[in-house]
Amino acid sequence: MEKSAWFVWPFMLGFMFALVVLLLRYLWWLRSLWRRPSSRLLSRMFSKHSLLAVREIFSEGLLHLRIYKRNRRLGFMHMSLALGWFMMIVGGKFETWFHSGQFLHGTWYAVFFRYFEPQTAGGWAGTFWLHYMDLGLLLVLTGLALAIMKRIRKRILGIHSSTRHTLVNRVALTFLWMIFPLRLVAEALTFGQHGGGGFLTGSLGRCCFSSGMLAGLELPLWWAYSLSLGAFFVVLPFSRYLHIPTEMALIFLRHWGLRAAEDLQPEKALQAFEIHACSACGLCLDVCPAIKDHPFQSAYFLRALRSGKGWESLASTCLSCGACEEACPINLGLEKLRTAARGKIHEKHHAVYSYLPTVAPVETSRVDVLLFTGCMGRLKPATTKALKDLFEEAGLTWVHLDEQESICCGRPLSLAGRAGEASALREHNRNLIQGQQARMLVTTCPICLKQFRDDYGLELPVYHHSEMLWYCLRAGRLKREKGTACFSYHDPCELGRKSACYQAPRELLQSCGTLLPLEREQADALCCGNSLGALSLSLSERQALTSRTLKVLEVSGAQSIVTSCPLCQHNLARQSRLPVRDLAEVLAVTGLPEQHGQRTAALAAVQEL
Amino acid sequence: MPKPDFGFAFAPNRALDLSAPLLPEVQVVLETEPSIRACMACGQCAAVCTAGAFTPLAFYRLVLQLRGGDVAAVGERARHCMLCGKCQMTCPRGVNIRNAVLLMAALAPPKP
Amino acid sequence: MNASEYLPKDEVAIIGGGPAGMQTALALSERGFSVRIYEQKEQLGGHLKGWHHLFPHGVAASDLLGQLKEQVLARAVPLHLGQSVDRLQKVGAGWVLWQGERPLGRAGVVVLANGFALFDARRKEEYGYGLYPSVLTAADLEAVFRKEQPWPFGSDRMAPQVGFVHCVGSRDLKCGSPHCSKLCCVTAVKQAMAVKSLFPEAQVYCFYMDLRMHGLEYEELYRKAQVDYGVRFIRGRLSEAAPGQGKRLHVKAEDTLQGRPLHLQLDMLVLMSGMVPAFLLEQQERAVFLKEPVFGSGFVPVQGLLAAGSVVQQEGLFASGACKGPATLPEVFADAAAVAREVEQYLKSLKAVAHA
Ligand SMILES: Cc1cc2nc3c(=O)[nH]c(=O)nc-3n(C[C@H](O)[C@H](O)[C@H](O)COP(=O)(O)OP(=O)(O)OC[C@H]3O[C@@H](n4cnc5c(N)ncnc54)[C@H](O)[C@@H]3O)c2cc1C
Ligand code: SF4
Ligand code: SF4
Ligand code: SF4
Ligand code: SF4
Repeated sequence: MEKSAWFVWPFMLGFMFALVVLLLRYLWWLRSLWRRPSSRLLSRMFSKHSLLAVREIFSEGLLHLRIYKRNRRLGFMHMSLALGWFMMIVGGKFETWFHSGQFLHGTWYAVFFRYFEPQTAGGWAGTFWLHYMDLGLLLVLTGLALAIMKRIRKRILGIHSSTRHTLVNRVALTFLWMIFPLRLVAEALTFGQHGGGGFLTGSLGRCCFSSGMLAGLELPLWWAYSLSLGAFFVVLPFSRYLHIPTEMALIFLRHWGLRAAEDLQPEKALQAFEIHACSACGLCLDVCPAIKDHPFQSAYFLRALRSGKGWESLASTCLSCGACEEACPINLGLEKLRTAARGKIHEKHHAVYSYLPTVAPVETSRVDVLLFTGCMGRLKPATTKALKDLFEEAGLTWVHLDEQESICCGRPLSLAGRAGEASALREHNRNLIQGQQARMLVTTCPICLKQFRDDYGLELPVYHHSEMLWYCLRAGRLKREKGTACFSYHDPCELGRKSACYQAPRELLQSCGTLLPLEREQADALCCGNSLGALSLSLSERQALTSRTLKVLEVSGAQSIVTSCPLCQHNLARQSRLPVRDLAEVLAVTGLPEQHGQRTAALAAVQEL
Repeated sequence: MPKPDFGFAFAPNRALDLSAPLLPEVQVVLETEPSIRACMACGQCAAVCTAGAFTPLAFYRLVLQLRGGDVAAVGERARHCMLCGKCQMTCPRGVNIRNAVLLMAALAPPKP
Repeated sequence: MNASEYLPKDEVAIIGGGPAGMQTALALSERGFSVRIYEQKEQLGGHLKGWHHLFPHGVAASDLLGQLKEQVLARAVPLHLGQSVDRLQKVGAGWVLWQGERPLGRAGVVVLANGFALFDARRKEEYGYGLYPSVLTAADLEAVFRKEQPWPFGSDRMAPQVGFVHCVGSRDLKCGSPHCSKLCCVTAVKQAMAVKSLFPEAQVYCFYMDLRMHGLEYEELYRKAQVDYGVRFIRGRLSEAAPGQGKRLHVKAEDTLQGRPLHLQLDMLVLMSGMVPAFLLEQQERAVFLKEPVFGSGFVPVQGLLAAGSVVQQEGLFASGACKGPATLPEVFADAAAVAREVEQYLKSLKAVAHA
């Protein structure tokens, strides 16, 4: 190293600083693991799971395939920034190795290699590295151009909302944006003065920076490059760019079997990594049903958790509709984080259910179906009645478990972050269910469905009534003929996104009429506005959300809106111009074949009333 | 001159003293969930209450008691709620009952 | 375009031939203006056609309607029956009335008297309207009194159990109706007494949130219902109606005064469906559309106080009767007279301008 190398110090100091801070923060987050190392974690560490993690880091950390699948332009932006930079880091290492014959160097050597060795040995391999490094730089610069465009005109990148940033993040962003243009100019100037260079830096140098008058600018430019790098690294551990290393660490930890805690611990274990792995890519923004009214979307919520300020109100207003979790490219457990936060807010809430009567298991005769309609089901007698008619038509025997009194399934408590408090309720219902002899449990409420499936550990299978009716239809126990009825179908959050049941209700409706395509449906469907997730959303705010959802559902041609959740139906029906009905109600009276003619007439008479 | 005592003054713990200021913890609940103020004691919430079928839980009574300053009793009762949300679904005034109940339950003395 | 050329000779068009429309037409015609009524149905009368007898004195609705119609016929007010107006177009200082693509007529002044609609009780599915035959609305019960509809329970029931639910679709933000319909309380009292006179053995309950006995002699009626008829008033809401023993309904409710839940078996449940807006006024350039109301839209907005009949921001457009909000017949009639006076002043001021 002959030339003066003082200018590398800003970079080196910044880099070391970032490294130390990162290490300290990660060690702090993992403190509990140090104390109690889990054997599962250790055994997974040295297994194929680590390889799987590397693969995921490659596909998501570098290529950003999930973002690409949702939005090509945005995916390309993220990919070019990450992959380009990665190419340059790896390439730099190999290039210095190739030219010096020595693998180990100071970190700065590869970063400022062009300054120290403007004229490198030729040959095809030397030329390859020159062009390769330029390609990396070009990729990053393209990404940068797209990122700048995104700040100026979001629509170009196919998005409506982008994250609004705090001061530290804007500072970090400025330094980041300066790094690569400075590197381009510094390298081009060096090549312009000394000759050589790849297709980008070399050509730029020859055409613009070969004049001897510019020679004095060479060192200042490399200083500027180093300064912007150094400054970026200094702010990195305190800005959202912490996500770059954290996302990788998170992927490893997840593959090694670490699970997020149920209670809120934003500075501990996997939760800390999740909260800091969000890149604020903004994919959670456009999908949120409330994006036009409230800034509580996941990107903002995670940011509030990082800063420790203001997360309470963001957690209490979110609907827990699951749209952002579905969209999140790094699969953050957003609902769990939200419920953990709600649980923290209401940690003083302790439920007492000692008043509940004890259930003595009763031996009953064997039936096909145990029907559970839940709390909300009581408000929808038409659904229950229709479903019982359908059971009869399909020749199924049933017992209606909660016909007289019902006990809540426990999911509303879980959504409020008080899952533990719900154990007495679950216990009660479990006793009630297990006392019965049935082939399956059928519920008309997707909220109950989710709770029964995830948290009850029941021996018998649990179905939503749409699934059960679908099986009956496919097995020929129910027969329907396509009629002239035209429906639009509302996917309940808890049935669609949370339980991945999209097909059954659709095929049922198609069996007896026409199902209209909607602007937003299935995984993209909007929440009805009355989710039990939101705790402090006001009525008028909810009603605004409902009318937006209804706008999507009231497509031209639709004669009625159909859904399959008592809560959604209740809420939509109060506000809709079109009749809103449950799937079972529709199926009980629509598309009945001719031989059931008499029945049709009877049912039509009931409808007439 | 001392006032004569005829022995039939209001029993102090029978009557609500409306001129006394609201307890600070009551104020916090009312301010955190302002929709509670909209309650008109119609009783719809109690009519549909899932827990109310088994235990004397009636949300509108909690609101009345809260305003009366009977904080401990409100907290104890609110703990019986299952948060099922049926009441909130049918409340004609759009009171955010689930959130209110969570806030009220926190008023109970901490669990031993 | 010369405005006076288009100004018809003081002609007033009235949309709606209910009590408000008829009474406004009479008042204006008595003042010497030429008036015309456009009514979408084939008969005059509005909702009054459907009622049996009226609170507070029990006057037969058909008698009152007959008198009103007689007067309208006597003054030879031109009637356009079966014509539904859905658009008003401002031309010069006057209006052209449209039904779809068909112009129906021209007038210097239009008075909206198209009344109210009844809340669709099926929206409250938990009360079982449309699902259980023994659940009726107050309007259905009037039809039963008029013998146009049978009683929902067998003739063998001499002591039916009957429940009235107040405030169904009124005072309910969830249903988009923040207002009190103000006369369903007294209607329930009237109907409860009628049921008791027809079935003296009947048990009749009224489930109310607040009893609003605001009108002349309503409070007296309430006391009579309690004392002379034994109607029981329970302050509380119903949770839901479910099938009960036999053809009966099983009903659960909260008695808020006792602070206890209650349940009972009923032979008939009557829902006091509230009065809701029948249409939505929508201004587009120089036309006003009468559209199907959307969720939460209100009654016709008027300027209030001394201009209780003038529709806001619409010169030459007035509103009379229950299209402005819930109103009883005496109120509708008093309002009609006041609106007629307002219309007269407006037409006079127009004439003065035209002369000058
Ligand atoms: C259950 C019930 C019982 C009642 N009992 C009593 C009682 O006992 N005593 C009492 O004082 N009051 C009673 N009322 C109130 C009374 O019915 C109203 O005050 C009265 O009907 C209002 O008259 P209106 O003309 O304003 O409206 P409406 O009666 O609604 O008449 C409106 C008319 O306008 C017509 N119309 C609507 N749109 C158009 C259009 N676009 N083009 C042409 N025509 C149109 C309609 O067809 C209708 O004929 C009762 C109300 C209810 C709900
Ligand atoms: S869960 Fe739904 S409402 Fe909540 S932030 Fe995500 S998208 Fe928005
Ligand atoms: S339903 Fe609503 S308004 Fe009625 S008593 Fe309960 S909280 Fe109050
Ligand atoms: S949320 Fe609580 S108060 Fe409301 S109905 Fe359910 S159990 Fe009752
Ligand atoms: S008049 Fe009585 S029943 Fe009607 S909305 Fe008002 S309070 Fe309810």
